[in-house]
Amino acid sequence: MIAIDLTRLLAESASEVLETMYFTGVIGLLDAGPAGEWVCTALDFRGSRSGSLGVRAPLATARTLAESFLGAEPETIATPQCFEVLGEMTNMICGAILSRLAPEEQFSLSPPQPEPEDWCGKWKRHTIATVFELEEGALALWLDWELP
Amino acid sequence: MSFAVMIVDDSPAMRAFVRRILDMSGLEISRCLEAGDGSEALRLVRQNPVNVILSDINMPVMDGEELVRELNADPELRHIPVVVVSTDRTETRVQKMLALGARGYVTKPFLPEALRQELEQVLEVVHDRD
Repeated sequence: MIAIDLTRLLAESASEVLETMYFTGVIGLLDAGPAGEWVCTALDFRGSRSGSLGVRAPLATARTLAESFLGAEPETIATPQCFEVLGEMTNMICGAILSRLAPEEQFSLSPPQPEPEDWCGKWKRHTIATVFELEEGALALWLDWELP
Repeated sequence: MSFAVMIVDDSPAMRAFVRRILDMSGLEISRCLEAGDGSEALRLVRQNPVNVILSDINMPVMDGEELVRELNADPELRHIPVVVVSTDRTETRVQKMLALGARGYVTKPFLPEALRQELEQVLEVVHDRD
């Protein structure tokens, strides 16, 4: 039951951010994302609930999202920009999640940082981890939290 | 009338996004400065006056809250309106920033139209005062 609610929480939060500022949306859930190179950014949050959130995307999806966000031509998007755009998305999705969990509580968020590509090994250790199918590509979110 | 704008955010991607929205807004932007934190913003704005500052809150070195405080404490700078652009949507935070002197507050994620409207409202206030 908790897992279902958390999946919905992640889906609603990701949808809000993607539809508003990345001009795409969540269309479903995937068992796993496509093979190939992925990029990942994560941040920590501190407050009445503390934890961390990670956002991970295939490089091709990250590039498409960066194009939409920056309004840039595809050939001008470099991998560091993909990390920057994914980092900002992580920041906004975290804000959307926390505002749903605790609308009137203030949290401190660390700056989003690139995460090493060992996500698959950590996948099952997260409180919740989900892969969403987007209109163009896939997006994976993981969330860990602990009560104070 | 054209306006000089400063975007203050530690995320280069967000600064680029906001700049893009400003380009599409229909507002005549004469100059668009960027700063990665409040300290850099203060340094820049003392050398290059602007009509409005769009600022994030959560930034390293000097955050948006301190930036608004510093601006309001400086007689030369306190007239510059600040629109806060933040993921923090708690009413407590909004009211705190407005009480400190911020003129507007836009929560991320936001539609381009929402930022444009906020900016127009603030710039009109400035225009009326002029």
